[in-house]
Amino acid sequence: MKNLIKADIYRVLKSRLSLIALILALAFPVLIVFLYVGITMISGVMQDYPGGTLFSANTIIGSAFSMTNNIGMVIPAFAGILACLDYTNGTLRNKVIAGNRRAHIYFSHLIVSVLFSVIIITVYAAVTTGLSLIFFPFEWNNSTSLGLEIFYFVMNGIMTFTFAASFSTMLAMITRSIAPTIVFTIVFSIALPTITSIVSMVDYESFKYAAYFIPTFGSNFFNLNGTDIFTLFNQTTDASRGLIFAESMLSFLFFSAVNTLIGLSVFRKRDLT
Amino acid sequence: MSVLTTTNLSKTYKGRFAVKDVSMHIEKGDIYGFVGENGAGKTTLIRLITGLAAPTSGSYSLYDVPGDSAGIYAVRKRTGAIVETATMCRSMTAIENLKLQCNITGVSRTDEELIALIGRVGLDYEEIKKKKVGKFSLGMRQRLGIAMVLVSDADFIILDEPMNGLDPQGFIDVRETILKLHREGVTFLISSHILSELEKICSKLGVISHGELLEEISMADLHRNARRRIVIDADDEAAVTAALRAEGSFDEIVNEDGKVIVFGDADLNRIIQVLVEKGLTVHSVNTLEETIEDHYIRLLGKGGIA
Repeated sequence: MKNLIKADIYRVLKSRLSLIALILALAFPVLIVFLYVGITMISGVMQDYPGGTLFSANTIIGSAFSMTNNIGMVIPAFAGILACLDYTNGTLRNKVIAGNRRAHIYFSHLIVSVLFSVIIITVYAAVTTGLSLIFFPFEWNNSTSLGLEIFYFVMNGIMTFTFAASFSTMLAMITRSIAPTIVFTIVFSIALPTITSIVSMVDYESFKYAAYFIPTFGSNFFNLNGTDIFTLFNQTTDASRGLIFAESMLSFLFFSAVNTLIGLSVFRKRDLT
Repeated sequence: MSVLTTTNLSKTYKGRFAVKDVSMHIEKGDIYGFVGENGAGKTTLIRLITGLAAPTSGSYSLYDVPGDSAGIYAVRKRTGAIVETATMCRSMTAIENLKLQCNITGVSRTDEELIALIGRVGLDYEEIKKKKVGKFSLGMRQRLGIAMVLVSDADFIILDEPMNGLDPQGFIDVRETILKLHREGVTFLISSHILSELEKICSKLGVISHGELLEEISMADLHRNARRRIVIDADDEAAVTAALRAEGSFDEIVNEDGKVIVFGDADLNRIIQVLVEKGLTVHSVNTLEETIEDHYIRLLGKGGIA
């Protein structure tokens, strides 16, 4: 499988999509942070302090790992396209003919999709964080440890995109076609957090339980803003936060495994044309 | 040593047989020509033995390793194939595609070796080194596809319509490459519509039609059993036919396109003697042997010379 991973990394690095994704990961934070700066300047609140009271770095950084932000929708779609291109180019056939097991081919795709997604979103989050901290204040008044909270936040973000990569890989392997992979990935990227938000708005108590059935439920708990959520669920201690973090990680792993099992079972039985 | 054996191999799509009970055998050192009309089942059979599709029933083995056993993955690494068209990343250059294929097959090649390989299949490296494969002609892609197969030192190569899109020089280059590799010990399974090309290189022939293998024959046997025909161009075709029929020793005499054709092992001297005795004017007498194409057409019962 090592050779297949090397081959897929080589293929992804040679693809223009990777370059485009990297450029977007660098360009979007600049655009967004300067948009916030512009709004703040227009509203005149930057006279006393950059950032004023209109925005905080917490708000901007908090959405850095969101699937519904600009790059958040692009990454899973791109990961899906990169997997589909192996089908459409026919290079996937070369892998089968060369005596590679289908499970290895699938896992190689999955690993490279996850790597691609995590690297791009990490670059995006790092640039967003850096620029936000230059122009806006970051405040932490919660009772929990900031270091731990940052760890939860980053891990949660990485797992969000791991899950998204497993979803787009599954779609690519099932549909074998770029257009439906893009459409379903984007619809899913929007629908999932939207459903989560709607459920949480309708009834927080129900959300407590419903959240466990939503793969990205951890995103609602780890966003570095968190005061409301902290209070709501009485997670005002590191221990209670740790518990929900563990549940969130298990949820990601469970749903990512479900995606992989579905995708792999279809791919293993499929006749390749 | 057996390289490929299929036993009653079948594949159905929506209840319809694409390949039906095919039992074929390829020995080490064979160049096996696989012939059949469009949709006969050639590519489906190749897909089955390369692992791209699973058989509905029957079995196959590569190097005596059953296709449904865990050991099949290891022996597939000794196999290279182009199925239908050579598949490659169109946004990459030729050498990048070869490097990708090296990764896929797990072999290590230097740039110099890959450049030499590009030259070996008749591509000019200097001309194509910066060109994306998407801008290659069909023939160039076909040649690069063969180079990709050769990357892994495969000792069994399956080529599905390798002559497609090639110009006459391309035919010659590919043919010479195949023969050169064959001399180095590579076994081939080649499906092609271009029967005249197959005839020049094959040692064995399999004829498939409507999913069924009609015949598997060595070229030596085919030539041995080939039907010979003597074509006579004469002024009075009817008189020639009558004279030969009256002589009584010729099996089958046919009039076609203004010529008289005598099939079978007819004695040419006797024919000439009869025509001279009858004082008939003859412009030419040619002895022709049945070609692979004639044999194929006859086997499929599509008329032709038979």
